[in-house]
Amino acid sequence: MWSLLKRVAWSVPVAIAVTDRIATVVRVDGASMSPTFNPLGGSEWVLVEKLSYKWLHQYSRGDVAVLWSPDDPRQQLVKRVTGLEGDVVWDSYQHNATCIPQGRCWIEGDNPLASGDSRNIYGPVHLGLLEGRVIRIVWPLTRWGEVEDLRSQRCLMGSWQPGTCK
Amino acid sequence: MSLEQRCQRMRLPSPFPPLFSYACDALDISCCCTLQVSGPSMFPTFSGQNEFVVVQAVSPLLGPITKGDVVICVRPVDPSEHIVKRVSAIAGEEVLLFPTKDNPDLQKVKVPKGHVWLQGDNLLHSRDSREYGPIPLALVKGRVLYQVWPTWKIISHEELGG
Repeated sequence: MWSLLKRVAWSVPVAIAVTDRIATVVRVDGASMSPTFNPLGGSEWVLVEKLSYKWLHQYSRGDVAVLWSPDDPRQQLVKRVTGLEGDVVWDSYQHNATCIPQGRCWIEGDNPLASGDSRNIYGPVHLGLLEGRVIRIVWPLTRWGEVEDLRSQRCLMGSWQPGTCK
Repeated sequence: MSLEQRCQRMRLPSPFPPLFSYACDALDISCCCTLQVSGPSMFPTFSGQNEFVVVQAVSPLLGPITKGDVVICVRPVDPSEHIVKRVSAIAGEEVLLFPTKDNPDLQKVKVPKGHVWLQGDNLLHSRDSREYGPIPLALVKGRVLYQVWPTWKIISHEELGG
């Protein structure tokens, strides 16, 4: 009985440390990332790895990231990182070019019609807000699979230019 | 053999206490860790000669972040570093920026929802919200409660300089 309690007492902080720093599973709601997630509505569960952002501090364009909302520190968003510091992004609503400052990134939902992101609400978002990188859809099992990397498509669309501004 | 027993055999301290403390920290339950501060930006509150302070993960138990708190925050221009600054304005308040060589006008900045304005106590030697802009609350990682080395000091909430 005592050894069982000790095992439980041990596993709780280990589980918390793992989900905070290594990997976790989160639920994605809403249509802002359709068709990558929730193409038919409802919600899905995805595997999020935290090593790239929290240990290595390596951020790449095309990553789907889980991040804390700049407006509400208790809410998390799932968006795609489409620009990094020094890039110039064209805002499709206002036809303006925005330079992304040092330490920030540009996030967009894959469904531009239903997404509140850097283009319309937040502007460039601090890299420190990025919590983890989505690497796989895990539930429902019919949707099991890799997360699509749209990097090459965005290059062709011409809405992004690599780091030229300070 | 359990991890505990293996540690005891090798005469190492048990990793359980720091792991437990880390877990409480990650869950934002009131639990503390100690950190070292360096640099001149918070003089005279900290002299910047590698003092040790006790930091509490921002927990609802001690109330929300308010004006006058000294906080640890991820550096906005470099997410791999942390900075120690004091909260001088919270969401909804307006901050008056005095003219600098880059900006000759008097500027009024409103701190947006979910953000705070941080300033070092040593304004002349501090890179803070005057350079970074308002900082999202999710970047604020902990509240500094006490200094424990080299002297014991409670970090007061008084704002310096008004």
